Amino acid sequence: MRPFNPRRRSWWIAAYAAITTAACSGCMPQKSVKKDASPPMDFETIEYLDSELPVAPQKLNIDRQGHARFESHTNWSSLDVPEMGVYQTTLAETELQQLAATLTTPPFQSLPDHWGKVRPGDRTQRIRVTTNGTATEKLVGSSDPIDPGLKRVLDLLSRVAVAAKQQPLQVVRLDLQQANIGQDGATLSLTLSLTNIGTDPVAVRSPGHLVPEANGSLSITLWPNAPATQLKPEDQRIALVTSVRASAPPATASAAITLELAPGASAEYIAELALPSAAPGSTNVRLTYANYVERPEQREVLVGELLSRPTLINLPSRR
Amino acid sequence: MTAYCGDHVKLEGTVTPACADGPVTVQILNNGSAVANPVFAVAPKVVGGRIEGTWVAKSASANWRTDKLTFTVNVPSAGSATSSNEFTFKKRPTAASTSLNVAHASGNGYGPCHEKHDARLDADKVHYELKLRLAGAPFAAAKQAAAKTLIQNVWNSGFANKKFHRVDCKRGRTCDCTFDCCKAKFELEVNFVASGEHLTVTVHATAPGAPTHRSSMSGTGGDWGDPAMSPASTYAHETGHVLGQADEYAAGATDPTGVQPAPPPAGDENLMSTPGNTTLLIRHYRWALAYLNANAGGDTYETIQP
Repeated sequence: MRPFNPRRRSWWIAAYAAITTAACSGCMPQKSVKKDASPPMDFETIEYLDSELPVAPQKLNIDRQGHARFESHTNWSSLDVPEMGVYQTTLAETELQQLAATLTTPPFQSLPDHWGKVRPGDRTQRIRVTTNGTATEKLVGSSDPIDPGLKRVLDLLSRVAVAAKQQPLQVVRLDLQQANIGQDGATLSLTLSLTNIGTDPVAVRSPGHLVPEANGSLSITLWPNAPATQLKPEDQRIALVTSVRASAPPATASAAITLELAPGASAEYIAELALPSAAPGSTNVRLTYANYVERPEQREVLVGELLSRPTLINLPSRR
Repeated sequence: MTAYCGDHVKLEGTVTPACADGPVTVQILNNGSAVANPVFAVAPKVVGGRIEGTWVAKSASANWRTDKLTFTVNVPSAGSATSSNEFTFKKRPTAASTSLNVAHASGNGYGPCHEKHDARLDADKVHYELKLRLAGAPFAAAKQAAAKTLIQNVWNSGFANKKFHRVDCKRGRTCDCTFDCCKAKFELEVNFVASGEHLTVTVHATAPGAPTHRSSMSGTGGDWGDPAMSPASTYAHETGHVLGQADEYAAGATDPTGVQPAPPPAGDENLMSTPGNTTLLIRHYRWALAYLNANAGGDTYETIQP
């Protein structure tokens, strides 16, 4: 077991603000917490899962010591932050008490949820609270209204997750640095990098091992550089990268299955593909790195979908 | 006489006057033409003037439903003769279209997956039809055609290397019969309709570059993100949920019976487990197999992957 690295930082500021906001809006009257005769719930663990990416939900785990670990598997909901991985922080005692109080009033066990009613495939949020060895689980989907009490817990945990993201432990960031159209006007060359922005080493499936597509992929999405209101779904084009090679550091093997990155380290790749047919003009390009295999070899790697920030290219009119 | 392809067929004859015991030669004749390399479970021989042998019935042509077979026996010491009666192949029953609506419990607190579609048993295959009515954002004819083709291709290609096969076929799972007598195929047909739908799918269009809407389906309805989250597989995966299939990823609407493991073992990644993967395995056709077995007149089938 790797020793836990406590970081008692100020996620509380965000969470406290959230709680205060909730209290001010009448969602969670703090006075009622204080007046409640029930002692705060003495939880052992709280798990919060958001199936933003169906196959690998975002997962926040908080234990009674206040260790909070957030496993992010995608940035679908935060496209301007192209990173995924493991974040870890430690909550202060007062923060833990606040969490316990939120679970106590109203009693978490009594909160109505959508258990048994969520359609397969729907985006879900799940909270699993373990107390005295017994787990209580709540599940909500995206279609039906959510009980206000449960919504308050979900919002609080969601904010804890956001705050935990300030402490990257094993986190990879994807950057699409350049996108160039070949002289023939038919090929697209991309320079991408994967950087470990965490404090611990991290392993990912090598981009070279995602081409050709096999339980993961490197792909691009193209769409016109125009206001969203002027665009239709069919304006979007998706194409798979057909070749990729490591460019930096030179020792990074293109054919490697796993890419190991030390803290702060980066690996750069050149990816190429045939430019899909699309309307000429200024066009956004986004790169998506997707891996769904947890152990492509002995080493465990990050699973998820990482979408780069878009960059602009100018598609020629005749290709 | 009649029997299913793959059954044992007993050949009997009498030699008069009785001849010496020993092996005999038997030719199987299909509409008068000799069948190449017939397989005998019991080699024909004559004992005490009686000829006996057991042939593993096997169709010799695509016209097996109307073919008439006889056998000619040649006894070295007595000459040859052709059977007095004919053999024909027993046909699998057919069944008219019926509308299914069967719920299968899901794990992880999700609502059930359903078999919600029409099913009929054709002479050569199990045929499913799924009728979808669209609502919500516009979904042009070209997109409908693409979605129909995608879903059908995934589910029909997924069965292309498989067959439903008679459990009692004496050739076993490695049966080399190439006709639809001891084997049956599977076909899914998807149609977009204005009425008479099995379920309504609400389309949610998202602007390019924005996070796409999640797709989901069950017997109560569906939502499709346009574009799909994983264009190569999403609509076919969600359709799986109205063909009775569970998710094969740990956090999904899993199969509490364990028939569909979540996650599947390494190397078994498939449409129901992994985005972009369109592989389908024998287990994904188990409800179609169950439908076949419920309508095959008591003759039991299994799914084989030669």
